[in-house]
Amino acid sequence: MEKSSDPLLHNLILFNPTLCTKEGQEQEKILFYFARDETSEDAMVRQVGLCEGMINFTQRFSNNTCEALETKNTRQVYYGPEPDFWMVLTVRLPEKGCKFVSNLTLRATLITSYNLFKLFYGPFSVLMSKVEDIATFRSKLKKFFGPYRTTLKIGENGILDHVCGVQYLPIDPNTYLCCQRFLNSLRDQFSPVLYTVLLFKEKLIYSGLNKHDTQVLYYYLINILFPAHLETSGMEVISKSLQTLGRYLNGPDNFDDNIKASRLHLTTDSKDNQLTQVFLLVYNNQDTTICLMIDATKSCTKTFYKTLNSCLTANIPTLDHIVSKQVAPKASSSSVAQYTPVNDNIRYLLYNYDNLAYISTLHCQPSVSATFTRIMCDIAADIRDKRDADIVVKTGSDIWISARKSKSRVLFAVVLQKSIHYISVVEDIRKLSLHLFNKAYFSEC
Amino acid sequence: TTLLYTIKFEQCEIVCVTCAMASSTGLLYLSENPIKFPPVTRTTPVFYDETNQEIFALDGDVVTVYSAKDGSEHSLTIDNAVNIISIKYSVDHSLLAVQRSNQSVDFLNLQEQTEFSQNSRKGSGNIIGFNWTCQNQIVFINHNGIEFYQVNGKQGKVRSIKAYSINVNWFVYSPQFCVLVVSSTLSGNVLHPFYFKTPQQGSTNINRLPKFQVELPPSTPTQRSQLHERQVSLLTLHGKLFLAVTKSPQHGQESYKTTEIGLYVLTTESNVNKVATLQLGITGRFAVNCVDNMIVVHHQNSKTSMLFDICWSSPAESNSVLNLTTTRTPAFKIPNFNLKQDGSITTFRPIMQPMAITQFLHDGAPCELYSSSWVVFQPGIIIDAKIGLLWELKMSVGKLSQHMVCSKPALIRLLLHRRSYKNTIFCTLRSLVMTQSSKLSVLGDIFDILNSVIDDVLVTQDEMLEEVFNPLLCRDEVDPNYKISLITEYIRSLRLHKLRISYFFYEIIVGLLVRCNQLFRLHQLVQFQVLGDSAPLACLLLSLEKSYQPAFLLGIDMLKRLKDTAGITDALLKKHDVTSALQYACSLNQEDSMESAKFLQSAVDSGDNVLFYTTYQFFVARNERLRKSPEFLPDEGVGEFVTLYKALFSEL
Repeated sequence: MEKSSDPLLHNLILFNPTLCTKEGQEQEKILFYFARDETSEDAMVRQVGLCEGMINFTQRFSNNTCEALETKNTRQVYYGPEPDFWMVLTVRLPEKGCKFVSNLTLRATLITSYNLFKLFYGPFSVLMSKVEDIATFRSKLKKFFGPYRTTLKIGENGILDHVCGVQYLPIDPNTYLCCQRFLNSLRDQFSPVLYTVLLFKEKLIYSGLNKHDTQVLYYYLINILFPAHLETSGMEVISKSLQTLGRYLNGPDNFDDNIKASRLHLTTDSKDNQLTQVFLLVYNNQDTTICLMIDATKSCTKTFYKTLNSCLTANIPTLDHIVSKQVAPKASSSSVAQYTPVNDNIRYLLYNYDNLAYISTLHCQPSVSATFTRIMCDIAADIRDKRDADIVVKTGSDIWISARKSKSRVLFAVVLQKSIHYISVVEDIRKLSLHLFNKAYFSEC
Repeated sequence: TTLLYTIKFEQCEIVCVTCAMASSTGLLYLSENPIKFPPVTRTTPVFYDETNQEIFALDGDVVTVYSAKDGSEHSLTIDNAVNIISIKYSVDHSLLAVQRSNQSVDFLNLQEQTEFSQNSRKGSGNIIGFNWTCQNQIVFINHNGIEFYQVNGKQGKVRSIKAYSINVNWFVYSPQFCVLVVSSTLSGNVLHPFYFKTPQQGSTNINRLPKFQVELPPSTPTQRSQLHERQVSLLTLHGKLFLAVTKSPQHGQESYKTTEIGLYVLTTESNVNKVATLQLGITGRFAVNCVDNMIVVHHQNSKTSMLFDICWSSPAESNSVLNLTTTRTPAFKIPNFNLKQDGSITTFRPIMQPMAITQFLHDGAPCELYSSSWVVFQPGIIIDAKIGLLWELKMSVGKLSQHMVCSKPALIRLLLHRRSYKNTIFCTLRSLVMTQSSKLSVLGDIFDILNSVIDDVLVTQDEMLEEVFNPLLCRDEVDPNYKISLITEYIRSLRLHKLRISYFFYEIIVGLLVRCNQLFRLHQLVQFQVLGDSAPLACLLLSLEKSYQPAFLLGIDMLKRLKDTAGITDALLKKHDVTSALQYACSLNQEDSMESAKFLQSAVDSGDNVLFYTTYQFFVARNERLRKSPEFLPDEGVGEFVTLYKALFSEL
């Protein structure tokens, strides 16, 4: 629910300046325009012109384009995903209450929305060249960004959003290899299956995609597909739960119908800038979810889908059983030890840019208030491009926040205990990092 | 079973062989160079001794001996050879035992040209036969008893060791085990085993084992069920002794449509038990051989042979259900008898369709196979007395894979029990991976079988690499994903069976993933610690930084787990990340012992003057703390850095 004290999405704009060839036809540049308030075309053109001017102006000073513009009441972020294509997102700050929005996370939201679009429709430029006219292109954009903008949770932009991270399931090597056996056999037996992704309880076990595609697909599954499915078929699932039958979240409902599967455009194994096109099947049984990416250049028969389906129904329950048996509290095979409360007063967030993994206890009760999250966002923006960093901040409310970056790993820690000395804060954090990194490198104090 | 011919042989018609001649040898074939001996006639009898595997061909008083062991032959003259009933050399060939009458056996000391003899005991009846056991000990089997003697060839004396009184119909003897089984009672189905041990001082080396009864088909009013000598053979399978009893249906008996062979296991420790039934599925005349620990049952009527393996079974395997498990498959030893311990009987069927032995050409003409003049002996001796040939039955293990209709893992389990399995297994596996004709999961199942055998030298990882994986890996046209999946399956199987994995498999998989740019997959493999930590692997990861930047941190992580602190410092310094290297060393409290020259050199090499300044100042501070002086020690070898520092920053 939107509260008046939350920052609100003011507009979301997509434009391409090269589409306007004649003066007076500036509205041609606009590809998509969402505005919270009723806006005349003139106002839209002016707004786009302003953004364009801002981008062009800042480009004179730096090779990097402008990323964000802050005004008293608004925050505006810019993103140019492809040559001549610009995306702009504006947030209006409320008059009272939360006055804070992190540009870093806001821009990350914009980038993610582009990545999701590209995953399903391909790059803007390719799509534009394929459709018969710009109007069709505009309607495709509207079809995607229209509903998508409602899923944006502007007020909740937390520190995690800019990471767009992945939670991995900590399992031992034998279980991991057992999953590999299943996935490799599946690929071996069904050659149109190009890639597989395996999740258990919304945590990633394996992805055959590259890092970028994994990140975007994981975001889609966790933030869009799974929640949507819970909403639409929640009651149904409960009534069927006794059967624990496998089902497709995305894919063939009924083998007599045409196979309904989303087409994806992957950067994995893309050649000469041609994205790899696949159909996405998402199959779920109990806690296990498997994504199968099927070569879109091959036409698969109903028999193929039926055989594939029988292979999934025959093996996924066993796999689910093996993995659930292994996911015991003490299991820890990832390079980072699992959270055990070393110190009840410390909440932390740990992420690794290399594999997108994150572990967070920020949500643990009593959780870290939004104020501190904002400070962390600011620090995150500061240390983003640094190789190593070590920052300790004492907040106005007498709480310590520490951020340390060592190579690709970042550890945020919030010490909730009030009125303690810097020395003991450092000692607490040293103990935490010793505990977390007993199997991995992390530069020490 | 000593005298080879009967008068029947001469009455046999010669069957015209019209079969098409096989161009290549099949699975079962006869040895290429059989022992040739004079064909049996009424006047030239031939004897075969199983213990020494020798043919004795008589022609008047001249005896010619042909050895099936080494192919040698020699002749000697014996008086009164016409009356010979049986003739056998002692194990060391110093004595020749000749039975010329029903009551006595004569011993010929060939070296000293002396002869002496031993009568059977009074009341023990006629001598049915005799066998040399060991060290010039001999056992007489008489109609009414068993007599065991020590023969002294030099003194020409025979000393009785032991005698048993027992009614004997016939007997069988296993030279490998020195086990004698005699048949008693009217039906002949009560069997008494005797075991002759290697003599030890002060103890009798004959062991009478508990008698046992062999089941017979029920008698009919016109015909009494009886156990005959020709129905029984002693077989050695994987070092165990079995008694095989062929049970044929009797005329007019509906309940026994087909013949089966009962297998009884003979041990010195426990009672004899029936453990298995071989179902032949047909009737007729049968003969039994053993080849490479398989039982070969020859069927004369159809001129085919059936193969049985009591270590093997072919379980029903599902097509779609994978064997997914994180617990190791039960380890087993070879031989892994598929027999039950609880006394119940396992039923076996032939492992494949009956087949004929490969045609044999003798003097350019095909021999009649499965001829009525064939006599078989253990383990794989086939003698055609009429044409005078002794063959050894052989099996071409490599041909098994062509004939077997079973799953590939079952084939591998069959091959594992063959004497020269290695090459065949490698051949089979190589052809499976090269043609990609088997599912990946099937290959995984095979790896699991090979890795669950308790035998260190069974199939080593080096051999697998050399014989199976390398031929595939070096073929560029093969999908690298297949190679990756295959090696991953092998690693999975090794891990599951807690075997130490050779580093080269990790190197291969890392190399393949890098080559096809599947770096995120590589990252996951290291992250989930599938690739075991080792110094070479850590170095490999560090070296991958150019193609995959995060590999560096993976390598450092691994060094940390290996507790290789010097390795971490060196890796960081090699990257000119001097600050991290210093921080790391300090965190280990190694601040005071750090080699200043190494750090300063890396700082200089970085080309970053600020870094050099910082590093230099760090060590100056250390000098002051340690020695109350900013100066370096002469043996630190930092003279050039001091000069450089002064040149760069003297004005500061």
